Amino acid sequence: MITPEEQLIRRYFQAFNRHDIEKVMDCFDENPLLIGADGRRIEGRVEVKRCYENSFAEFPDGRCQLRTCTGNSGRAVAESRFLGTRPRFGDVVEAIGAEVLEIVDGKIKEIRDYHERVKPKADNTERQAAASR
Amino acid sequence: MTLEEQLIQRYFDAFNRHDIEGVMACFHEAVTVIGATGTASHGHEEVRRQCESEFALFPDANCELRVCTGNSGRGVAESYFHGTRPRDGKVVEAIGAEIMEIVDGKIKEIRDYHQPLPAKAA
Repeated sequence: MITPEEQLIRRYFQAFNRHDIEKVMDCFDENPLLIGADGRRIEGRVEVKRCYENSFAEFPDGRCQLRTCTGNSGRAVAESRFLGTRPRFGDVVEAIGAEVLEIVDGKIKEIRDYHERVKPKADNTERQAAASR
Repeated sequence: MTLEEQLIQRYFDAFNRHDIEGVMACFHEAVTVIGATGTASHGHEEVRRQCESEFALFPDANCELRVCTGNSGRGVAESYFHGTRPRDGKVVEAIGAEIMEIVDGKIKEIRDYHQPLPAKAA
């Protein structure tokens, strides 16, 4: 049985992968906080929205493949693999990791992100597949 | 608390006591531990050796469990690791999350996404 936390994560990833900024923001609380593993903090809807808009602009084919999604009682984790091409540099960026999410009243209140860049191993077939999604 | 959360709590308690038998009792016979870099340890023997090496390298190693959640055979532990290497006095800190696959009440796989924090002198 899928929990409400898991449903929310799936909705968030689907919106992210469609680059639908309004639907992404709809998953967030009124005062969200994103924290990177390096301690960098992005706080409030305006800053969080800007962060996603920048990501979508930098990686027009950016996609996050959800690998594991589990949670209950207001806490959850999403393990995923990000893959995106930066047209500006013509390189592929790949990262794997996990996000720990705090969920309040059915919205994401906080994300602590532990993604780490990995050396891209995407061959042409994989890049074409990613681009066509 | 779900069964997965109880197992994670037990695993962390044993780790922080440096109780190698208690740690190994949490693992499935065919356990795999995968690091963020893709390195993997397979089976009880390799995983035991890895834990023993870690306890020897960091005699004060401690992993503070910050978030523990899971159900239906999957769990996650977000934690803060802290340990001092007596050899050079270096303090190693790392934060991150471990994703766990749980089968028959034992940890079958850990995918570890801890990242080191900037080094501090002891």
